[in-house]
Parts: sequence; C-alpha cells; structure tokens
Amino acid sequence: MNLQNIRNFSIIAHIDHGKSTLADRLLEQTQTLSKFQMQDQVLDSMDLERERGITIKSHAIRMDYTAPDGQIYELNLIDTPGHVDFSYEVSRSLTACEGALLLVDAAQGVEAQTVSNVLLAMEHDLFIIPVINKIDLPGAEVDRVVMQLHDLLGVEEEEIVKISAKEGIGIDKLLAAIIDEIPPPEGDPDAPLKALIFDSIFDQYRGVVAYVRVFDGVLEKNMPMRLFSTSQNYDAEEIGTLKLKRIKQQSLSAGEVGYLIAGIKDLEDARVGDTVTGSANPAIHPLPGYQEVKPMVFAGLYPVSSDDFENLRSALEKLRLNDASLSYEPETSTALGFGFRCGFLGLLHMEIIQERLDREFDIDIITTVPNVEYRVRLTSGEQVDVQNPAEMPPAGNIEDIAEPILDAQILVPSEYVGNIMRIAQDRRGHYRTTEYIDPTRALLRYDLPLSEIVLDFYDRLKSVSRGYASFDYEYKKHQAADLVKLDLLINGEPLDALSAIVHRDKAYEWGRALSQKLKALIPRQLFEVVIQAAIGAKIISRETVRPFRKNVTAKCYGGDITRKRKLLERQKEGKKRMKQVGAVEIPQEAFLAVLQMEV
Amino acid sequence: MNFGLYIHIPFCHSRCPYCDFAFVVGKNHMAKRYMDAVIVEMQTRMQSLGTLPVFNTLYFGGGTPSAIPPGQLNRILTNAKSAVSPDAEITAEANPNDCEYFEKLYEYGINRLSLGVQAFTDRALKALGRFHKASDAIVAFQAARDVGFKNISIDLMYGAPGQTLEEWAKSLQRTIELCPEHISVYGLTIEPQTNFARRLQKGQLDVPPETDQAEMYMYAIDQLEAAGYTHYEISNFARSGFASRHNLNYWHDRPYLGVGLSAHSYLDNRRFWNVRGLKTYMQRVEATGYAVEREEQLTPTQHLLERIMLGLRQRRGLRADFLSHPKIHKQYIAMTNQHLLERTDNRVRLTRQGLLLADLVCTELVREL
Ligand SMILES: Nc1nc2c(ncn2[C@@H]2O[C@H](COP(=O)(O)OP(=O)(O)O)[C@@H](O)[C@H]2O)c(=O)[nH]1
Ligand code: SF4
Ligand SMILES: [Mg+2]
Repeated sequence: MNLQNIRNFSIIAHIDHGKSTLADRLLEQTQTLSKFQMQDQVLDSMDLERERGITIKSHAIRMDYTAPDGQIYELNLIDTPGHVDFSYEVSRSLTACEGALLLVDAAQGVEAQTVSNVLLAMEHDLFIIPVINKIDLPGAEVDRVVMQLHDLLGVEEEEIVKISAKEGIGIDKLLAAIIDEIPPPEGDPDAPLKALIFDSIFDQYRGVVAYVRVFDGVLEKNMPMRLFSTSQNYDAEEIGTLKLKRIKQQSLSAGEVGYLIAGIKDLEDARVGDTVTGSANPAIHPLPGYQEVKPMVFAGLYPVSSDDFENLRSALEKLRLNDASLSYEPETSTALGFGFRCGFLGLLHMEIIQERLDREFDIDIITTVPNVEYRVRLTSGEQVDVQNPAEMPPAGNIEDIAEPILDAQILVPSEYVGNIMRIAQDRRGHYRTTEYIDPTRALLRYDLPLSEIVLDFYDRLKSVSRGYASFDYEYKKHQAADLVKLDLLINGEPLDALSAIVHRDKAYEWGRALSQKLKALIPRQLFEVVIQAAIGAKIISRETVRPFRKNVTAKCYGGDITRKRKLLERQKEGKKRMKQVGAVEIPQEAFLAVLQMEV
Repeated sequence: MNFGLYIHIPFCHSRCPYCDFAFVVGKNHMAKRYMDAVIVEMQTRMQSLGTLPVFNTLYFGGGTPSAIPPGQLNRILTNAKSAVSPDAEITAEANPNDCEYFEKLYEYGINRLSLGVQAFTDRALKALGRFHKASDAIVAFQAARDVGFKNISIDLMYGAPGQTLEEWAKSLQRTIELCPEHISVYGLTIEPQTNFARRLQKGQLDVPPETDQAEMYMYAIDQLEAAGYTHYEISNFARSGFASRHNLNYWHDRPYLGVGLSAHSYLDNRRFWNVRGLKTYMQRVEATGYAVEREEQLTPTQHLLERIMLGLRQRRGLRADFLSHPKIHKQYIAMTNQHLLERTDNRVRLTRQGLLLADLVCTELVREL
C-alpha cells in the first residue's frame, strides 16, 4: 500500500464518551464488517471488558475504505485502553499513530481524562481531530463543548466534527476528516527495520502474537529478527494484518500496522514498547520511549483453602501469559499462610485480576488490603523497597520512609471545588494549581499520595460532586513523609495481613476504626477475642468479642439425626471458609474490612 | 437385638408458639383414617424387612399421642404385638391435661409415660403458651402413678421468656419432689418460622440472656445429680436403670423404624423420612403403602460425623479410638487442653464447661473431616 493512502489513528476519550460505539460505526461504515457480523462493541472482546464497558487491552483493526473519490485507503484504528491504570499502554498505542480522534460527550463535556489524553496525544505529536459525540442526546450542549474544545485545543468550530456514534450521524464527515487531515505515515522502506510492539497477546495455539507498527524498513515473512530489549533472535514465522481475524501477508512495510508471530514463548519477551529489528541488518537505535511497566499497587492474594496454593500459582501464571504487567512473588503470612504478593498497575487492574481468578479459575481467594511501594532509607544508609507493610523494618532502623506521590488532576464543576479541596486536604494532598476549562469547570491539580487514593478516594470524589468530578493521575515521585506502621493484634498475636503503613496523624483514628470494624466481623468463639491496634509496642485501641457462654442443641428430635448432621456439615464448611489465626477464627471479610472503613 | 419402632401421632390440642415439629391442630376427626394409614405403612415396612423384626422399644411421639382416644394407639399395639419383644419399653408422650386417658394407656401395655410438663410455675407455662397449670401437672403425675406407671418421665424447659433462675429452680425443685424415674431438660430453642422467632425479631420476646441460660442449665445438672439422677445425655437424666432405651437406640447408632408422617428411619446405613403433610401422607400410604420423602445413604464420613456428634452428646462419651483419626486428633488435643474435653479410661467426653458449648466443640473437632 502506498504510504499516502495509509492513516494510523486512535480514538481517545473519557470513559463512556462513546469510543467503543464509534469504533463499531467506523467498522460498519467502511464495510470491514457487515451489519450482520456486528456485535455491539466488537473491539471489547474479553467478557469482562464488554460487561464493564471498558477496554482493558488495546486492539488494532485495519479498515479498507473506498473514499467518495474512488481511492482506497488503509485505515488502522488502534484502540487504546480506557483507564488510567493502563496509561503506559495508551502512550505506546499513541506512538503507533499519526493522529487521534478526541471524542467528547456532548452532554458531559470535557472531563479529566479528556484533558490528560490531549496532553498525551500532544506529547506524541499527534494530529488531533476534535469530535463531539452524542449530539442526538436531548441534553447535548454542543455550543458549550465547542467552547471547551476551543479553550483546550485552540480549535475553531468548523474544525470540530459533530457526530452521533449511536445513530450513525456525521460518520462520513469524520471519515473524510481522517483522510484529509491526519497525515500519512512517513518512514523509509529501505532503512533497517524498526517496528514498535504496541501490544501483545498470548494465543493458546500460536504463543505470543505481537501487534506492531513498522516505522522503517520492511518486516518480511520468515526473516530473522531480533528484539531490542532482550537481544533475542527469532524467525518471523507469520506476519499479517488485523481484521477481526488475522490475515496473513508476505510483508509489512514502513508505515503499516499488523501482527507478528515469531515463536516467542513468553509474553514478557515481547514487551509493549520494545522495538523489532532485523537480525541481518539491525538498526542501531531502538525507537524511543520504551519503559518497563512498573506495578504501583500491591496486595497479597491467598487461597482460602491452603490446598489451592498450587492452583492459584498456575492461575496467576496463566493470567500473566495475557498480561505482562501483572507481577507476583510467593510470600507467607502468619495469618493467611502461603500466597502471593502481586503487583498491579492500579486498583482497577487489581479488581480485574481478582475477578478473573474467580470467574475463569474458580479459586476462592482472600485479598489483603492493597498498599503502595515504600522506599525506606535505613539508618545504615541502605535503601530498601517495601511492598508489604508486614515487612517494614523496625522503626529504630529507619531513617525515613518515602511514599509514591501522584500528579493528580481533578476536573469538577466550580460549585464543588470547595468539597473537592476538603477531600484532597483530608487525603494529604498538596495543592498546586486551579485552571478553568470554561467558566463553570475547574481543573484542580494536586500532589497526592497514592496510598491515599487506594481506598475509596474515587467514590468519595464522586459522592461530594454529585458524580460530576472526574479524576486522572500519573506517578510523579517518591517523597518522604511521617509514616508509621500500624499493627493489628488478635489475642496478642499480630495479624500481619492487616498491618498498614499510615500517616502518624491518622494512625489513632485508623486503629480505632479498624478494631471496631473487626469486632463487628469476628464471630463469637469459645473464648474471648481481644483486638488491639498498636504502633510498635504502644497499644492505641482495644476491643473485645465476648465468648460464647452456651451453644448446645437441646434435642435431637424423634430420630431426625440428618437435620443435626446437616447443620454440623454446614458449620464445618463455614469454618473452612474462615482463616485461623492462632486459635481465633477470622472470616474472609475481615481482611477486607479496611476497604469499607470510613476514616 | 436393639431395634426401635417409632410411631408419630401428629395431633395436638393447640399450637405451642415455639414448636416446629410436625403437628396438626383441630384435625382430630382424621385420627381414625390417619391410624389406618399408619398401620398400613407399618405392615408394608415390616413385610419388606423379610424376617419379622423384634422391636425392643416402641415409642409414640408427637404431636401429642394423648390427644387422640387411646383406642387408636391400642390398634397399633395389637397390630405390632408379634413384633414387639415382651420386655419392650413402650412409651407414650402425653399432655398433663389428658390424664383421663392414662388408665387406658397403661392397660393397653404402655409402660412408660413421658409427660410434657415444661414448667411447674404458672407464669412460665403461660409464657410458653401452654394451656395447663402447674397444679394440673402435679395431678397428672399422680394420676399416672395411680394407674400403675412405674416409669414416668417429665419434660422440662428452661429459658422461657422472662424466666429467672429462681423461677427455674422452683420448677426443678417440684420435679425432684415428685420423684419421676426420668427427666428431660431442654433449653428453649427459637426455631426459625415459629411464632417465637417472629416475636424475637420484632423485639417482643424477652428471652433470658445466654449467661442466665447457661446458669440454669448448670444449676439443673447440679440439682438433679444431687437428687440421685444420672446425667446420661446432654438433656437427659435418669434414675439407675431408667435411661430411655428408645432414645439410646438413636444415640448408639442402632436401627429404628419410624412410621407416620415425618417419621425418620435408620436401617442398613440408610436414613429415610416421610413426608410432613397429613393429607399427603395418608394419600400416599393409601396408594402405595409408603410415604417416603427422601432417603440418604450415609457416606463413611457422614457416618463418622454422626457417631461423633451423637457420642459427644452422651455423658459416657465417645470411644477414644474415634479421636485417633488423623483429621481429628489435633483438634481433640487442643480441645482437651482447653478443658472442653476430658478422657475417662477409653472414652472421651465433654467437660462441664464443654457441655455448655457442645455444638461448638463438636464442630471444631470435625472441622477437617
Ligand atoms: N445517545 C447516544 N448515546 C451514545 C452515543 N455514543 C455512545 N453512546 C452510549 O454511551 C455509552 C458509552 O458508550 P461506549 O461506546 O461504551 O463508551 P466508551 O467507554 O468510550 O467505549 C453507551 O451506553 C452507548 O450506547 C451517541 O452518539 N448517542
Ligand atoms: S404439643 Fe408438642 S408437638 Fe404439639 S404444638 Fe406443642 S410442642 Fe408442638
Ligand atoms: Mg468502551
């Protein structure tokens, strides 16, 4: 294909502004799929994605479009994940494009993710086509959104495409804009091969399938090739383009987007952001911007039944085949036994993994309260990274503890600015700036400790702004803070899975709330259960669960032994779902108690 | 050979607010037809057993067996005669208000009477929704003695709404004064879907706190043991030689045949039970001779669970070799260290403390099974 006739682009949008719906319309309009083949939101292929209406993994699809002037264009739509947890993947996907459609909901207007997406797209020098979607809605405020886009991008009304993805209004105009305005890819087909891996998936039968964008040179079938980050050599067994199915091709040349199968066994070896080059005539430098994806949020995953430990390991192994950003290491907890400390990109990522373990593998797991990674300077001058609060070195050996700080942006109607500021302050946010996107909407920027948003921050934001606040962030730095380790003791034994690192000013309140919550969740037992919260040796709160005084069935009635046995069987199974800590039985919910705490 | 026969008589004079047994009220006109069905079922069962069984106990339970004319019970006794051993224990549960029937019951061969007294204070009786008075119960007991019963059991219930330890002590004291051969002491249990359960949920039922209930139970054990009764099962006390042989069959894992609606049977490692509805029961028996609702074949684990559960309920305890099971031993040791279980020769039983927590101890013991 002539480079002049290729367009590579993404759709960027705040969640629910209609990205998936628009993708569907484009596929339909370009006759990539017949109406008959259309299944709503074709690109969201995992069940979980379709259910939650978010795109977790990026996808790419090629559309061959015959323009009204009779010319045939190759349009490569590179879908991006729709959540901030996956911002690195978004960034890599954008690298593969020359342009982006910035989709804004006509009723909602610009939101936090819109802003951050614009910034990302600009960083990648993409040509941005502003698109207002959902103009069919009765509540559409097209003029207001035009103003917002004008403020954000400096664009004039005529440059903005107005559509309804749902009703199929304005799609022709949008296709015309894509062809007229998004620059065709550049690249030198005669230079040494450079292709970017912008996504990779694991195919049960074929191993790793890497999605690539060729920048220079030609990727040819069967050529020997190499990955920059690992210097491993492979043969390009199969290459091709992506429709809904893979379509084999003999080659992909500069500017084109497609897939590559090269006998790569492990997803980790085909990392997103890596560069593919030829083994015979390798490029000297890789494409810029490759980073290793680092997990931000950590939690312990433990099988409820210790017999499931190996099952959990193999489930995590399998999940990781599809998701190289998931990390896990075996760990042990005195309370929970053998499990894994897992690293996630963010909370949504964590939820997704939990849900997949449950749905696809049917393993009952207990997840400990998520925490962030602390960088601890010891008095010895050494530095350690702590991903599990239970492993925090003794206070006496610590010089200081640094925690991850986010650059956070909160976009909110001006009347809620006060509420938002209060929450941000509560969460130890450090105020930076306020900008007005339009007279009624403010963009607040804060430096915010990641640990403070791990629990319920997003819900709180939504609830104090009647659902209008939107929120986005990226990692900024680690910064020292006055943090202490808070332990929870059950009958004097520390319950390591509930240890937490908290700010000293919040420790007392935290300890008390946690002990009270546990008191409500731990059932009465044969003996008294004492719940204490402590910082070091200092007890800061104490609750007790009274023991049973009497628990005995009066009568086995009229030979009905079955009924009593069934009761016993049920109680016995109930015990299996509890975790035994010392002699105390603790229900699984207790380990999540912290998640529901109102502190 | 120990083999029990249970006959369920579902008729009651009125509904007790805590009761979740299978009973019917105001249907006494159906008694004849019901007993016809019971006899049919009994005969079909006995025929299917092959050789004629020999029952060493026969038990009329309810419901309220004394609520229907004794002649109806006699039909069973005559019919089953050849299958009942001459020295069998033959029990009928009876209501204190039905004492005019006692003479006939004795005459027909019933040799053990179990009186549903519940309390010897009018306040508690009222709180429990019973219609007899304390004085009726005393009269009934005397009547039973007078007609010749040499084996009488009294059922008592502690933990009635509003009950105090003093009030309970009074009931116990009067019971001991009557010198029955056997006493059952049940704690009031609020079963789901009963009138009491609904009232409790609405906060309209003043059940004594758990600590008081524990105290009442312990007090009963002390008093009855001091009065010469042997505490042989969690809720049962007897003078020497008067432990309920019928109930021991249940607890000793021995076979029994239950006839009548909702009755349970245990034969050849199978447990089965009849339907609960009066009409359904009668229609099914009339059509097929049987009215089984469900049946289960016990797995080895289920069987073991039952042996442990029933063994622990007895004061002589459980054979110690049950506890050497690899999945039980650890918990057994732990429970012993917590003074909830104790060893006597080659048996293991609940301690006094353990008695109060019997269900928890049992669950804990078998948690790994
Ligand atoms: N009325 C209207 N609804 C739309 C339009 N486009 C998308 N939607 C609806 O908006 C919701 C979110 O759309 P979706 O494509 O899943 O958004 P995404 O999260 O950006 O992928 C869905 O309920 C769509 O049906 C539109 O043009 N008009
Ligand atoms: S008399 Fe017995 S069976 Fe009848 S309702 Fe009362 S407790 Fe239940
Ligand atoms: Mg979507």
